[in-house]
Amino acid sequence: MDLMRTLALRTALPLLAVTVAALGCSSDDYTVGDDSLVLPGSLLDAYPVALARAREWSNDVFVQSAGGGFSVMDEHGVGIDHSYQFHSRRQLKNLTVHLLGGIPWTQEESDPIPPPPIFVNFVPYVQLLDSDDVVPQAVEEAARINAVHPDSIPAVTQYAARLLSIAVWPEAEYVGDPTPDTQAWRVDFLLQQLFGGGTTYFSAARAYIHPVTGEMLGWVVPAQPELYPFPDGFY
Amino acid sequence: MKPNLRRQVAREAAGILLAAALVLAARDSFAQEPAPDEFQDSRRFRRVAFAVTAGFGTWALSSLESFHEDRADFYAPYGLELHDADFGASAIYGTDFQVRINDDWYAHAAAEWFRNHTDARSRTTLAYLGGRRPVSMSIETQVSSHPLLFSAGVGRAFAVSSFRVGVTASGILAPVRLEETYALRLDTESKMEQDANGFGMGMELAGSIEMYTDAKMNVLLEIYGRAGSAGVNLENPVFGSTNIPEERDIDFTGLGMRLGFRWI
Repeated sequence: MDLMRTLALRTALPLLAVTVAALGCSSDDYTVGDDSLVLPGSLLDAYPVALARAREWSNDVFVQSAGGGFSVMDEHGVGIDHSYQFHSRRQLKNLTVHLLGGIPWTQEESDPIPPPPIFVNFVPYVQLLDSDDVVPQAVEEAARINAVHPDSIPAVTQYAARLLSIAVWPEAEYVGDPTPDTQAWRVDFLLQQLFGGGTTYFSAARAYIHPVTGEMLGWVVPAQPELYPFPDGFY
Repeated sequence: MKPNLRRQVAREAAGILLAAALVLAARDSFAQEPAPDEFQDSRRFRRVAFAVTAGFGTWALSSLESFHEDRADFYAPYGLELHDADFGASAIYGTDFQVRINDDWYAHAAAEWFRNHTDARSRTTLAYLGGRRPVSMSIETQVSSHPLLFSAGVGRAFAVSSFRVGVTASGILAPVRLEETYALRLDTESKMEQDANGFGMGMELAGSIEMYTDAKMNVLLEIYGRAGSAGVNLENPVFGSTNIPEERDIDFTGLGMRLGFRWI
């Protein structure tokens, strides 16, 4: 009995010491790691989350577009919502991943026609300029143009940047070249206007920027702001 | 009282109580001679006793509270009100071994399975091409033992009429798992689950009352209070974001009740 008593006490006392020490250590309630998506973030910041979600759907996915959809940003090129579109050849489907504050909402749709050829893939995307590079660049460029030619580019506070895996520049409709041959960031200058009894986003101007070199390729300023599809239909 | 202060007070109080129990156990166990016969005193039982219990408890999950508030604030501009995900009842099933140290004092070790489930859900409408489109979000948070929560400590038994009353102080080892399911519906529903695992420690103070039966099988009712915390890490850190944190601290401070049988 004495042995048991001693054993119990010798076990209990260190247990008490360890427990008190462990509980005494204060810790943060939660931590968003360095590698995590810290919001608001850029399109390529959020891309790994969307890619991981898409790979859960099908492990042969490749990205077709980033941006558009929910991705409305400030002048620094960061936002809290992000949208991406992926394609799976095995499933012959597209998967659109919208991240609403980092939480995904996905849409599937059949796409039996093989996707267009990829000029610059997003992986390794570290070689690409990000939305937080191209949106500030477009904002600065617009200010420079407006200084020389006042009111050429509408002044706005919301922007959208999107990058497709196909060539988009030059725009056939406005520039006259029927064969786009350059992949480019498209930066839209967004306005909110009345539409159908409510308000929605319209694109007042758009700039095209080379995704790797940052070369400003050109501007398109439509005569009237164009409806900017939100939240889907961003091709 | 702020959650951090509450937690600190609970830890301090639990620590003092456990220390007092151990000091009393040490004093009494060295002062008294073991009784020659077993079962002369109703406080006594066989050298080893085994119990099975079922019950429920409230896990305040108090350190998740601040995270849930931050996440609710994040989604408030969307028109979503995601509240009340930081408190809930848990189902508990457990076993308990007691080893008698002397007439009054006993050591015990226990293992239990528990699960706590809370959720936050809200719906609103989203501006879309000049119209409004319904959108709803639900976040279900489940905290459970992974696989079992272990506790060990000392206790003292008292004879009150024909009942055996016991007070037990224990340390807790708590491997826990947090499972969170995010469901977002905008025309169609999209669901994702993310899990986080971790380990924590804590303390428990329990008061029990047992009714003897002819079959030497006590009917047991136990009320307990707990304080402690566990840190959990996201199993798939690539999904880590402002609203799905990589590391979370779960405080399992709360009260609970167990009912069961103890074979003596």
